[in-house]
Amino acid sequence: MKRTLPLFLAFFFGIIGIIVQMVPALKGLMDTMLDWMAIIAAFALAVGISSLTRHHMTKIRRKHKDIFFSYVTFIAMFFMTIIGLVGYFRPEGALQGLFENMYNYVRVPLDASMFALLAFYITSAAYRAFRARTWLATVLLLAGVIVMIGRVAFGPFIIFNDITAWIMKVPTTAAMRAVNVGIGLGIVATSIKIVLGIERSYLGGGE
Amino acid sequence: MGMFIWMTIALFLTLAVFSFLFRDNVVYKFAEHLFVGVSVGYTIFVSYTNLFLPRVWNPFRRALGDGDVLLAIWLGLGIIVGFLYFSRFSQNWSWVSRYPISITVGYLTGYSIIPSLKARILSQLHGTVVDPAGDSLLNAEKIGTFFKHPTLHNFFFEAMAGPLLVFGVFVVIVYFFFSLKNNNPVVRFSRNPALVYLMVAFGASFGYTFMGRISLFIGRMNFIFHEWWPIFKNMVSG
Repeated sequence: MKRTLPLFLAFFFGIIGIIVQMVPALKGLMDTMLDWMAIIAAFALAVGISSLTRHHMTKIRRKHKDIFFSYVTFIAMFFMTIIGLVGYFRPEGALQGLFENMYNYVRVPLDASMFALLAFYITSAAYRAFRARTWLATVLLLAGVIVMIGRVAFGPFIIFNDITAWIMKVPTTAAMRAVNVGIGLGIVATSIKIVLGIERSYLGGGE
Repeated sequence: MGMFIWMTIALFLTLAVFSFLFRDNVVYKFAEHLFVGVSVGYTIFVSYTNLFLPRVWNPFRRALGDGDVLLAIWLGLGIIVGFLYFSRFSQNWSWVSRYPISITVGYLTGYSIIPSLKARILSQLHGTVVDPAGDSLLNAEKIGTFFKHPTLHNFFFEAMAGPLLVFGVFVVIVYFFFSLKNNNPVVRFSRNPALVYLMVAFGASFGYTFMGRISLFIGRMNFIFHEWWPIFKNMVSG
């Protein structure tokens, strides 16, 4: 019951997954199964949210030193959910506008700033990693620098634009294509191992 | 005025995030936790309106209304299986959550085999034989074009682009072949060219990602100096 039935279910549904892809007549079943997966995925999301809630509730209960930030997370989460849902069901009210403003002036700037922040850390990491110690490291460094200049080339540097286009079109495409083939083979091999019950790590540890 | 308040909130949050460049601080932590809360709240809203309502609740109600008992039972069964996820919160019954996991993992892995085979292997190999226009990548006519009009552009973009691409894919695939120890001349010869291709690709990907992040940074600075600042200046100057 604890391990054999889940393995059988993975095998059974895995075979269905393969068959619906191969038999065009089973398109209806494929759509229904995808809806089923969406239902189950929705519950997985609910579990994730419950887990986040439990994590912050524990912090609040134990009066952790960062208790204020747990309240910030909670309040932001419930506020955003409630104004979103109420605004959705009553679009004539003011809450939909509030939800849009929360999205445009809170979430979007935070999201963009977080990713922009990474630029500085990438730079510092690159400074340490991109030392031209070997000739291959020099190639890496040169390719990076050329593409960076090529993306904003102007005036006499416009030649870098062409070089960047060539680098992206030929060597990058070639390497990424080969890597993609490797990834594809890996996905197919791992998928077959999961369906056949050889790969069981997704079941977790324990009995 | 209302819009200016919202823009000022956006400005404060942008600066709060960038304050981390100095060091970890309370303002950054506030922005970070606010980001998590708002993002989760937004995800709940999107999942409810774009996933739960159109793909679970409405079909379930429609099936009941139309008397399609079989579909209603099937969807209801999906909801019951989904509920089994919550067993994770019980120490004694957490193993029950393996059922929805194994159903999802099993179906989606089986479902992904053929698309992966098509998109990641067959299409990639097809793209290595012919270009998007349908011409062979090892087209001798393009090399002939270079001899008619010998320019650097014709050499790199026309004559050599196809052969170098095919050669690159071949050597990198050979380089990543780890299944058995192999030291034959082809494998040994392909190592250095493969590494050059990989280094160029990684360097280029880095440069591309870096410029993407920089453009986001420029976007935030544009917001501050070209959107928020003029409004603020107008308000101050009356």
